[in-house]
Amino acid sequence: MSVLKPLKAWKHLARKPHTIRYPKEEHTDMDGNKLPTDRLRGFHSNDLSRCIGCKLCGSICMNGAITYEEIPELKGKEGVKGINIRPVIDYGRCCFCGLCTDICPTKSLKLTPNYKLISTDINDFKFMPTQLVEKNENFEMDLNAVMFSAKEYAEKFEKEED
Amino acid sequence: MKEYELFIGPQHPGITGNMMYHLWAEGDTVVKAECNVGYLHRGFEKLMESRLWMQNIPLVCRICVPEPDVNEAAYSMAVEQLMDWEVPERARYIRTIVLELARISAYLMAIGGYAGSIGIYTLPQWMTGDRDYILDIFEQLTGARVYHIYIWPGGVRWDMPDNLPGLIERTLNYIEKRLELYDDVLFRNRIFFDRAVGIGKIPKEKAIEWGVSGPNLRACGYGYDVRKLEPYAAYDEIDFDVVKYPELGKFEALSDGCDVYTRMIIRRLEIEQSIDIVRQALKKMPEGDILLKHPNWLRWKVPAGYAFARVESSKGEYGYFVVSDGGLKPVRVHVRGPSYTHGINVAERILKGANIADVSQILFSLDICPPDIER
Repeated sequence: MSVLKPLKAWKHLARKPHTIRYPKEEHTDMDGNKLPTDRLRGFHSNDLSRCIGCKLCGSICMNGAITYEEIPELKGKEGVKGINIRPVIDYGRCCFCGLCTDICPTKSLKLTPNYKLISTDINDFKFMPTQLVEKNENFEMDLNAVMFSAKEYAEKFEKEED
Repeated sequence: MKEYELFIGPQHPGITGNMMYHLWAEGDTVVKAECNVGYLHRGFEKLMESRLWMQNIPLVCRICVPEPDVNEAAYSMAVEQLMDWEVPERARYIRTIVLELARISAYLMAIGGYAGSIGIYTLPQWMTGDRDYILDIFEQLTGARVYHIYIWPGGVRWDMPDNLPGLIERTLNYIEKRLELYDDVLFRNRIFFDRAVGIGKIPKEKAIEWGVSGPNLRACGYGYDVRKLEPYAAYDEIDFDVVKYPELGKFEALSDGCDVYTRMIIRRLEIEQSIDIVRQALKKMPEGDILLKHPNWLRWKVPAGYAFARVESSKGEYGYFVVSDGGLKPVRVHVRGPSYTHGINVAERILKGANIADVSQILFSLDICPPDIER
């Protein structure tokens, strides 16, 4: 028991902080490996040519996040109905549990480690996942755009206040 | 003196989450306390009746936010009992590792919160930071940082990546080193002794009657631990002793138990115990299967009957009572959460006579988790 022992905490003044300066610094684990790894459950990717439109993903989804849209250009086997529908996912409802990917019979639907999506439009969060998600082409976080829109809002807010 | 009313919560740093305590006080002494919940009710038990057996797994983990894995484990164990399944050896060990890592992270959060409630604000920052290293492990093992959805009926979802045992070992070494610093800042701090010894006593003879469990009961001197009494996962093959008052190791037993001081010391000692259990499990972990083959989830009918499975969480004893009529969905799932008894039954009684300044430290020392009160 001592009143002086807690003062040991002062030595942390010279220590490197835990926190990272996001997004300038990358998130790594204790060994310095980059995170997230491939196992992280982020946005879906779907190989539209392998997807057979069986609707199993929609039946296991407990949040009702998956609806379907028809793509007339996709032609499956002749005489089979509903083969050219593909899942559209509402990320306002999705809880990223990944049951839809585990039940997928062709394994075309996958979860990717991409989890960043910033938009001021609510409709941007409901879209049909394609393989683009996996390649990260759609999902570059444009920090300048976000900062810009925040600034825009602030200005608008100030005007309304006046 | 005239009595007056005081509200602690739902927006208050001295409360453990979205709940409220209604206090009646005379001067600065509490004469009556009433727990007020209802800010977080999501109706899980009823929701589970309308979902398929597998669809409930992403739901149950949300019953306790700081330590979600115990819920998945308890629900899965109940379903396994109904299905009459034997979990593969490797899966049992991975479950043990996940549950113990979750326990460490929950304790770090609980002790950090407690330290904040007595004015030591350095510790919550450090502990939240250190907890993040455990979340990094979870992210690589389970694919999510908080709601893991990893423990499934019949085993675990994925196998452990090859690099992970090394990372776990290094993280545990780091936390072990940090524990010495936590001791200096909190557990050997004069402020902690002066504030916590003899405060918030649960009468020893009443503890069982009131339904106290977990570290709070062990602080009263009862060696009650589900991991030892009714071993699940791989606990029966692991060597550990139940930490209980008055065997407090390197800490002195300053009071006659049952108080805030003893409860926090028990939590501190159990972090070390969990680190030891994870190390043993990593060493003994065999090769082999990790998951039994599931039937088609959409047509999975669990045989009729009922099952009760219980696990030891960082807050106390968790129990799941699952009833099936042989159909696609459970007929009834009842959750026995430890915070229900600690937050309502126990807290209301032991707050009587406490100083207003001690209310939040008593609540934090009970480690109440409001989502599990309301479910």
